[in-house]
Amino acid sequence: MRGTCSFERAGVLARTSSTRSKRNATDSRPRAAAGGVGEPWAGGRRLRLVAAVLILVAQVAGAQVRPAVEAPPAAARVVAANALRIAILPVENLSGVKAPLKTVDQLVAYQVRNGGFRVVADEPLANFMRVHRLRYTGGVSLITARASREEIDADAILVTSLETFREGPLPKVTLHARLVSTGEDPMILWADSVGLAGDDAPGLLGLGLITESLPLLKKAARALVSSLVDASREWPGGGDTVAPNDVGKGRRGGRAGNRSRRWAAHLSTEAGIAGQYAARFRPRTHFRSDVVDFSAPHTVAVIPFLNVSERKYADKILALHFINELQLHVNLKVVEPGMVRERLLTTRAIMAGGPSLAVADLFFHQEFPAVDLILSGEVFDYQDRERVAKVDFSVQVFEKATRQVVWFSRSYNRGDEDVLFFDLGRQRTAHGLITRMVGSAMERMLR
Amino acid sequence: MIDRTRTFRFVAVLMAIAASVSCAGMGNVYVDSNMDFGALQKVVVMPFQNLTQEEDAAARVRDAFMGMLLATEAVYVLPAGEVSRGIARVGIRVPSTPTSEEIKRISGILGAEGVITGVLREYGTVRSGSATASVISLSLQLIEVETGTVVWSAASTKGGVTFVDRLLGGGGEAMNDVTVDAIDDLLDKLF
Repeated sequence: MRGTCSFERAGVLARTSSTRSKRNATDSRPRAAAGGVGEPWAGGRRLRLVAAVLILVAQVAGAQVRPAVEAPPAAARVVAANALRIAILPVENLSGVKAPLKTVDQLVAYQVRNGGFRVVADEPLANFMRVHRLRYTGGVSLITARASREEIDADAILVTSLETFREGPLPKVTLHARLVSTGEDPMILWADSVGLAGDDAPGLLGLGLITESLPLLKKAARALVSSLVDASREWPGGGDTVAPNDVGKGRRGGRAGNRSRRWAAHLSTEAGIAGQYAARFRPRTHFRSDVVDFSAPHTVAVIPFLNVSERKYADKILALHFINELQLHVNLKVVEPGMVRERLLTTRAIMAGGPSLAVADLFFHQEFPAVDLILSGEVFDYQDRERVAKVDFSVQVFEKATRQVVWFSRSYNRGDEDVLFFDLGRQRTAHGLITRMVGSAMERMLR
Repeated sequence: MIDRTRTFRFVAVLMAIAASVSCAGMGNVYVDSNMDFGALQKVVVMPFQNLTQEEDAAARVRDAFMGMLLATEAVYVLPAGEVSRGIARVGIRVPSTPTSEEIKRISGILGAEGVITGVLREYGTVRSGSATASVISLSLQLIEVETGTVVWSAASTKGGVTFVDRLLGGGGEAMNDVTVDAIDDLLDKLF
């Protein structure tokens, strides 16, 4: 779709009077460049040639660099403005390096306000966090969910995590975010992630290369909130009221659909929206038990993975990816990971070699949300800072009734696998690689 | 005129050589003929003994083996976390080489009929001239819990620098793929 206007077609566009393609209308630069297009040219051949060249350059250079960010339509903005009051927690840094976290917070908050949501002010939120000694910002516990509804009148909490941050000539940024409802029964309303690299779309003559991290962070924040806005339109009432049980009904059967395609290449929700992953991302080994009907409604708790790799926080990163993938499926309810963490901490559960049945019993208990599947695994390798991304992990699922492993899979891939010509199909970020691997594994499990 | 007797003798000698060569590969497999392998419903895979330079090699290979054994659907393989809990409860000091008494106790706690132990002898990259390749050498034993005796053992070595690698260079197969080959070989020897 982007930047595919040929020289000849550009010339034709210059000659026509009022017809302007929808593609041109959605690109920021072509919109500016095409301001004069559509008027009949009285000039000679040279002027037409110049106009055609300008349009071609604008199409190629502009279309690949910055997909236009449309403001939500006026009707949706009015509806969203009456909607959720969101408390945005400070971003959790899982990158393992120093990162401009305050900048990320500001960018995300700005985009959320722009998306039409009401945001809890900084001061009440800071007071709330100080009073409740809230230091862990990677999840929402039951206590936090209740207190935030009562004390700061938040309808939902936005949890953001920075998976990757790399500066340099080819920066990389990966952000995760999820919206969790507050109150007595916190649930995940939306979750998504975006992974961007500076050389995702280098374009002609490298004009599309992004060499600084700040523009990449802005893009990532914009992409994530755009996904949130799109998802909120599917909620009953357009997002102005949120009854947690109804949000699930708003999703379509199978995977949630009708998402914006602008960020299709980068958002985890779009990576395999048709449910078709390349064969190379399939698990190398898998076991699926017949005793469980995976298409039936289930409640899943994702337990922290065992991290055998050298990358810090690789266990949390894998868990986030699985949460993002599982919550897309209508028949699955994913327990908020903050509540899982709260449960493990209060019971002082130790998982030396991974989750055991004793740990699983903590979540199969009736007092806890009716969990009947527990997902966990091991991360053996996670590399994103090098030129070639590499990921190696295994995942297993325990089931409540049988108390046995009902799914096991082992996946390992490199970003440059089966890439033959001009880097076509290359996964530049570990995010893109994991998204496809996780999606493929879960697709096999749930079909 | 063709000397049929001579030809017959020549072919017979060739067949005898081929038969002896094909039998040679079974030297590293032991199977207890009195063992009823159908009685094994649940097995425990203990942490492997790591004789290599790579710290987490044994964990990787063990995970791959457990998954592939589970995928055969011939036996149920207890998850690693459950095995760790059993080891902690029994108080096994060296999980990779449990004693018969420890095997009986852990199998009682976990409800398993068999315990698999293993030794990872080689894992990593080998070099020959300018060529490099991944290599793995793994041996496994299956211990029946009631008697504490070894009822099956086998070993497999895969990877290494091939003739083509020497000739044309290159890095050989990926380590994970070589590991899968070795485990496939071992499972073939088990079933």
